[in-house]
Amino acid sequence: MQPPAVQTVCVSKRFPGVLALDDVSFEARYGEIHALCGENGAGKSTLIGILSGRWQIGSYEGELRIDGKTARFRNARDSQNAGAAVIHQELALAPTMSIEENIALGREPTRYGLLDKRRMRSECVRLMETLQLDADPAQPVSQLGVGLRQMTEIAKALARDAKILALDEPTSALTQTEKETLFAVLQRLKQSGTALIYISHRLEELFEIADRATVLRDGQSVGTWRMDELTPSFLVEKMIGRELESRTHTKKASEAQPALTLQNWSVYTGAGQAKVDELSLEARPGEILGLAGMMGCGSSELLLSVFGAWKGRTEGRLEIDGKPARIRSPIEAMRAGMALLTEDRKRDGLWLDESVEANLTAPILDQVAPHGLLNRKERRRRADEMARRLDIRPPDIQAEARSLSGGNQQKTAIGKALMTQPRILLLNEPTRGVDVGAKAEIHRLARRLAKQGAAVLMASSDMTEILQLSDRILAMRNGRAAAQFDDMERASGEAVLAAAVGADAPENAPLK
Amino acid sequence: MRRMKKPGAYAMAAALLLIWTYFAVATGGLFLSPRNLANLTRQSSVTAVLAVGMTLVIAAGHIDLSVGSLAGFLGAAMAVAVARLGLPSGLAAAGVLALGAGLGAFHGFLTAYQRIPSFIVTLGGLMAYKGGMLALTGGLTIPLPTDAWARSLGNANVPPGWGLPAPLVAVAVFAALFWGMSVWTPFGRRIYATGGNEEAARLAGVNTRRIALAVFSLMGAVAGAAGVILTARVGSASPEAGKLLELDAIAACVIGGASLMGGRGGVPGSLLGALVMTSLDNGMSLANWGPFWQDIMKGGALVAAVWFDMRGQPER
Repeated sequence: MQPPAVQTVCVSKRFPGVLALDDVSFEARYGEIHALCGENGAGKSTLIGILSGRWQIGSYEGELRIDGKTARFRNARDSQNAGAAVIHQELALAPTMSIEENIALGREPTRYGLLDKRRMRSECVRLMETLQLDADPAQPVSQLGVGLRQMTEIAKALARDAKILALDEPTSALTQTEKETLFAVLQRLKQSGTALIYISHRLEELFEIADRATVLRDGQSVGTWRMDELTPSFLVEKMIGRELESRTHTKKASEAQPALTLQNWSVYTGAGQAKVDELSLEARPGEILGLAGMMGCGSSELLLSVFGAWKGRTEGRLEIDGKPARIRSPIEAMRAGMALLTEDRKRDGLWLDESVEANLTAPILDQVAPHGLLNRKERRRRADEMARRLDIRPPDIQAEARSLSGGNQQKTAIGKALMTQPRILLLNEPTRGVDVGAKAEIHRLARRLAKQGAAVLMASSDMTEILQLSDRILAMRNGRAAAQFDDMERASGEAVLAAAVGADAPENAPLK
Repeated sequence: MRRMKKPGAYAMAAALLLIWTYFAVATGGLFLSPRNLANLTRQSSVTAVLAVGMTLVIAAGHIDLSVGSLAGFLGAAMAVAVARLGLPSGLAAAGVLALGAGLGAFHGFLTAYQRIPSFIVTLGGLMAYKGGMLALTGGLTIPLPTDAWARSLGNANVPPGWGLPAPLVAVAVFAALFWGMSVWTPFGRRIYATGGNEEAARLAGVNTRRIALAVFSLMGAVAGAAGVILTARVGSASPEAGKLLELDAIAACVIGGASLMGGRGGVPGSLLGALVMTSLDNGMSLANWGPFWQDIMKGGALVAAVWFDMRGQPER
């Protein structure tokens, strides 16, 4: 039998204070899509790092084999030369350069020492045909949507004759259509004999596309199964080592006066394109209104515009506690009792080089500077209090935010939003990229805040999260309200998802 | 929030000590004589004052290339005001500070509200103020009247008769004010927050444009102060005054641990950086090294300092 494309034999990798991989044996074969599952910190990225040459030979114990032969990667180039390619969440393309230039980057065809543009073009066209991509090879990458950028990245890997392709959360920024295109491409690559390693938090995707799954937990391999012998709940159980409670609450929608009302709310880009189109909603104190939608549905823009942080034009009526309000900046939004958790904590939520304390207290510096001078003791006390309330770990608020795990970074970002004691809480993808444990904590926190009287507006593309947490659901698609579900007993995952992706919603959706 | 990396601070103090020890030996003790130390502080005062202001500009994620020629221009304006218009020195100095703040605010306005990168705005300023200075001086050196109070200021001691050189006192006052502001006030922390992650700062309720406006105004006022010191120290305004000082100031901040990406750096570090630069200048001329060595060594020190700083950081 043909040896596996990739095999790790009893691989252990130690970081200062952590055993990131503990005696992990894993294999992926040619012509299969192999899912790698596990909570954040389970060791998936470290394992991929060994394949990609990021962790060089000698920095780990055990053996990495490619085609049954021991691989000794000293750097990323060695790994590429052996036919491996890793496509990360943050894509590694040069934004101002064209698709063809990106694909050829580092191995540009030349004639007499000059760029051979004709060959560069034909190579690019050939790859685009393989992937069935429709784009202009001369177009700069910065003008492409995330989906096409990712395809360019895959084309780049194929141009380097990659036969082992590892994808790390490839769908996290894709629309439903882009995702379908990606999956079709992955299927074709699989059929042509490529070995694919697929990492995703989204279990339903794994069932859609993967042939086998290996579960990692706390750096150890729990086991490998064929997907058709698995159920989602079994997989989750293996990942977290315990059973997950399903639907956490059923509560009647609140009848209180809305804290936030939008009427015919529209949000435009600088170019005049409507990101949110005549949308109306009400968020009441004591409840969580879930904004369900796929990436690009307009919910991010909606939250930013309500918070006064949208740089383009907005139209429509916004009311706070029933009174019309104009929110022109985040400062005014905060004064009106709002707080916003942004979707990407690393981009615009946190100062990664600063301490947890500095991050938490950024919005309340005036409150801890009674006479214009900072009261450091008070500042530390406030930060400490919030860190303890959210159980941010490690419990040292002087630790740099960068050193925290994804879940604790997210808790820090949430803590920062809560510092101003908001009555209207705007959450955008509150649990993206956090592990299952932190996710449950954040969910409990959101529930508690609603119970204490906050109006919570939560945008999420995670349908399970929407269903578990919301008191009411507004499904968004293309900037419009696609459907509203006021009675959670009647909202099913299928119905909400169907509304969000634009499939025909089944009448009288079955109860879940 | 972090001001300066601890190992970096120690390393820099050690480097300064090394430089001082070397020149003390090389000049047979002349370098450390009280007279030369007073000289050293006078020489470093202009760079140091500018570096103090530049620290905030860089921490906010911007750069100001205009400060050298702005300081020269404002120094010339002061000389003209006193020598030609007969204004009292104090009034002229105050006017020059205000004018500096106004021009700085204009830089800030163009950067923050008109979205022209600060590099471009202040590069334009560098050229324009150079022209302005030529217009004011007509290419000639303008001496202060012998009885002008400002004339004695440059070489006066505070309190009179003994104590500290007046320029040193000016540096200390500015440094204390700016350091205190950057560490102890919400405004100061917001400068770092803006430079560290502008979008996060904006979403946390920081008026990031006003921060930039304020930081550039302060920088302009500081350039005014530097201009006053520049003119007072020599007793005249020369058309070449202030030339390339902006680069010394930026280098001092960077040697002191500031990052041109914004969000990092501190006033104490920048002061140390300014002292390193001037010590190299002063020591090498005392030790009779060729003048070209001064520039080569200063450039080397700048690159070496950043190299040392980068070495201590994990790759990202």
